Amino acid sequence: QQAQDSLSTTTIDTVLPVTVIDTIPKTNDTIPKTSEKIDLTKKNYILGGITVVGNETISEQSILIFSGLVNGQAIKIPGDKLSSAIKKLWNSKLFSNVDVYATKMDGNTIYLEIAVRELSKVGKVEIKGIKKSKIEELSKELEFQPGSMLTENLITTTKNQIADKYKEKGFLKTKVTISTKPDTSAVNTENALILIDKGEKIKIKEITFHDNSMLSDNKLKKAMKKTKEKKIQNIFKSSKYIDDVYEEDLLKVVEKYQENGFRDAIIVKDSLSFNDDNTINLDITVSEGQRYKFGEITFLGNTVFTDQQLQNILKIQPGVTYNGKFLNERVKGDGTPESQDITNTYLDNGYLFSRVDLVETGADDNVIDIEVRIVEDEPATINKVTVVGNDVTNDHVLYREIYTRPGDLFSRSDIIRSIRELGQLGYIDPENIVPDVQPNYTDKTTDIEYSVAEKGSSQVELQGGYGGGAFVGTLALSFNNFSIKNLFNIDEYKPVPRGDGQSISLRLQASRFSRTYSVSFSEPWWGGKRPKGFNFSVYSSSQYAFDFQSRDVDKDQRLDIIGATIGLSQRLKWPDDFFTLSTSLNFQRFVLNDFFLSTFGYNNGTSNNINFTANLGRNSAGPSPIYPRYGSQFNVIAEVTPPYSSFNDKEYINLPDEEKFEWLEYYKINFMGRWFTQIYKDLILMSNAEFGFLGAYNQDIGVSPFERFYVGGDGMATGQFDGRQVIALRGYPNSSLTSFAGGTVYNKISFELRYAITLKPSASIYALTFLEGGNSFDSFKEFKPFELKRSAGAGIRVFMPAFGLLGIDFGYGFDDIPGTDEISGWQTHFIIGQQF
Amino acid sequence: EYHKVLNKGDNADKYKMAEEMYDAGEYKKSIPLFEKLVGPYGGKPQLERIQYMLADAYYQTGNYELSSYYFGKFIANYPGSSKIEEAAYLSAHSYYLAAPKYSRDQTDTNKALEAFQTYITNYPESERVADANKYYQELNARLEKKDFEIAHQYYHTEHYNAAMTAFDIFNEEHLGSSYKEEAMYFRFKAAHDLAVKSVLSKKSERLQEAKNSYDKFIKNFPESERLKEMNGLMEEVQRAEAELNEQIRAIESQSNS
Repeated sequence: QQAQDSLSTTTIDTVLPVTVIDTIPKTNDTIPKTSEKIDLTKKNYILGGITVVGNETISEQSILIFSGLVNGQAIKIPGDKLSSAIKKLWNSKLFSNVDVYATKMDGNTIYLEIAVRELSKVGKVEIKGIKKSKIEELSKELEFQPGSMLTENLITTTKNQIADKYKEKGFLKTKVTISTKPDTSAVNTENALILIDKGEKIKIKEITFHDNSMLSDNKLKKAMKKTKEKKIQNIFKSSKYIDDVYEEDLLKVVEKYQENGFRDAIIVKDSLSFNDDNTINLDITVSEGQRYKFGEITFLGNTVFTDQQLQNILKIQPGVTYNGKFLNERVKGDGTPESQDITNTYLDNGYLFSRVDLVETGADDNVIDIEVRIVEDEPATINKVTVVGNDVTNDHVLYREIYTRPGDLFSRSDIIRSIRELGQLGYIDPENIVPDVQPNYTDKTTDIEYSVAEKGSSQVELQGGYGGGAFVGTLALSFNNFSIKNLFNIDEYKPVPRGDGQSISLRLQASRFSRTYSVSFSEPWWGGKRPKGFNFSVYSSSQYAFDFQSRDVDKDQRLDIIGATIGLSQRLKWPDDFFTLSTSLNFQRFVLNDFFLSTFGYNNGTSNNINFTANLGRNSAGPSPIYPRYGSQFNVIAEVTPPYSSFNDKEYINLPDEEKFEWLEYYKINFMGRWFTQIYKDLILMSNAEFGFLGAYNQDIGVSPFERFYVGGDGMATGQFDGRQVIALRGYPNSSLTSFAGGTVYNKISFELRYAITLKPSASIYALTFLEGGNSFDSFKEFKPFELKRSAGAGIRVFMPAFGLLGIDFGYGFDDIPGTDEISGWQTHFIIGQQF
Repeated sequence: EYHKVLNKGDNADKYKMAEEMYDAGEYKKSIPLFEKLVGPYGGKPQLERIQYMLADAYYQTGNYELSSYYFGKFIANYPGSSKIEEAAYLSAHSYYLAAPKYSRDQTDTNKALEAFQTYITNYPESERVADANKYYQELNARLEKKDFEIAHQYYHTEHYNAAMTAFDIFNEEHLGSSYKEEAMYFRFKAAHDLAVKSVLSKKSERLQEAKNSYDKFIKNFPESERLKEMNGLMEEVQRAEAELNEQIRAIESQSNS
């Protein structure tokens, strides 16, 4: 600190009583007082006693402890001990002045007096000049708080902090004054008034470029991403002036030139002038220089990859316009995890210690020769891999998702893959996984430590509502990082046993007219050896009819459904390891007792559905399942029942419906594909295509009335009992695009542009606009894949771990709703839960 | 009366009541009082006692994350305190109690180890040293178990190469570990499985590695009960080696003729 420099060198006088022997100036920045110099040789004394004067709120004892001086100790004057005592007091930042005097000398014994002046403390703080709500916000941000030590430094930094804050918002002329006056009611305390004068918001009127001939004004203005003129076409952009942003944008102008071959381009001068109407003009003078081309490109030092291989990565041919930015991106990377450049190619193949440098070797006739100099060094082997931050999740759950393993060659893309897999788990915060590569140059190894943060993943839904003319109560619990083995271990209940990556969910729903119970469990790594998922669920539901005579529920008229599913899924190694195959065996039994269901041809009877489902999927979307930024998802799903009718000799054509459909037989095929494309930073395009077909083995029975497709609306399946598949198509009422009996074939495409507003673990929010089309048909003969019902609209999604996904969409349907002549028009959809 | 003092009482009343509560064992109630006193008594001699009692109150109520934090602060602020030895021990013990089981983040375990180590170095004469040593060993064993289980998981998931490297690192980092025999055993099993299932081009090298692994085990644990099983596995290795040599000879004679 400055205290050291400003310790004045003073010597002691033998003539007592009071002599300044050492002193500290009042504030850091004033010039040290120089005391009279009296010649005296250094001498050893015994410290006989210390008195403290000038202290108001800090006790004498504390000051003595701070100083580190103890009675009876030997002390040299002047000397180190005294200097350090003063320094310590000074460093405590409690005093504005510290002086030490010798008060008495008794032979070899010296008595000292420490005279301090305490710094004032800040008392009440009042802020004026801005809105009340802003005052609260600001007063929390400031370091200038009641109780703080009132130093010059604090005042200056506070002024700057506030002024900067408002300058960033475009209030370029913000003035801040801080005045203090003593608080009469408290000791050594000063009340402060912070006066903020924002002035008018300053906007940019004109940006003028000078001396540019090769690139137009407009092109250069466009290159400035955040510094914009106040104009109609910039209505969605801010035209305020922010110093830092402007500096960045100037660099972007230079970059724009460099991208177009002008590698010597510079900003010669730029100036800012105020207009009378609270606007400013910016004048920017450039020097363009000449336009260059790429000449010969040579690679030096490469032994692992051939020149040709590197040339293929570089993608630059001699003779094309010089583009420094592109060259740099191809050699050093464009900053994205997927970047395929020379440096990253080495890093992906173990060459952690490699170095790639770019050297321009010649610039004759506007042609620039490039040398790519590579120092490959030896490939690095991974030594230890560790995970920290897992306060809940057990090691084995996390380590099995990590692709960098001890003994492997270092690979950057393996690290990226590991981050993706960890982020997909759902209970690790995907935006907060930090890999720390700790290379050890001497033995060419590296340790890798993944720092993770747990996030809540349990969802509890307890709700009561009014639906279908009756009160409906729902209790749903889902735990996504459950530990079944600790089910009976009381110590692990915090509040439920967690950490083994299993999920379990329970759902109970009851109203006067229905009861539903379901339980499901899944373990993603059955046996812990391979990512072979196991899941199991059972459910039971009953619906009761309304008796119009007694005006009450009649439990004798009922539909009972019981079902169970057992499934296995596993990640495949071929064609690549993003593929998964899941299979399941499902059983469902419907029992109708005097119960009328619109899609059924009978009121009494039993239907059984035993089917086998296989789902071949590939999912490379990431990093977060809630807001994927790249990759794609594909699923081909086949669902088949045994062809009972081939084994018996029944004359199905003449049988009543309850016998026809006693054992359901059908096959169903679904295809779904989704692509995620990053347009710009948080702006993502999601493209989706899907198709489904339901077929029959035996034309005498016909296509099953169960398992049909219903297109239109929000896509949420509620209150249906016939295994129907509900397909969202916003802009149309629910299921309005399908006939009463249900479709047997459908297709749909959609494009969704998403923009992330926030991706915090507590809540992820994104806005979207969509364009989609789809339709369903009663039979394959009628299927016209291009006759789509179209819609467009916009919406918003909020994902909170405790509630799942919530959203609202406003869609406009451009086409007729079947059965009416009117176009669908505006529709509002509320979305709860994930849509597919 | 408690709430009245807590919310409206002056500092001296709060101090008095906090101390009474603390002495009477009402730690939970004393905590909010002590917390309110930390600010006003800043820089005053009473703060030493307040900080100690606050830390201890947290310790007594089982809030070990906070008690370790406050004891740590006490140690840093009052190195000359008469309670320093006790605080040093309780700080270490708090970390020990706060540390989760081996399969989770071990930051607190490492802090506890460091704190016990410092305690043992600074107060070798203390009667608590025996306990400190016991905890120290227990925590060390926990870290060993963690590393062992991670290495074993690589074996279980059939990442043999990773398992071998991880067991090697384990044996380097934890000399004299109680898991040493098991670690070397699984190191051999991983080498064996890798060699037997190996592609032809790497087989010879991997069989040799399995043999080396076996020799190393025998040298360290000549009396082990696992040897019977391992000998059986070694026979497989030898058979595989003989087959490999046969194959090589066949190829050589083919290319010669």
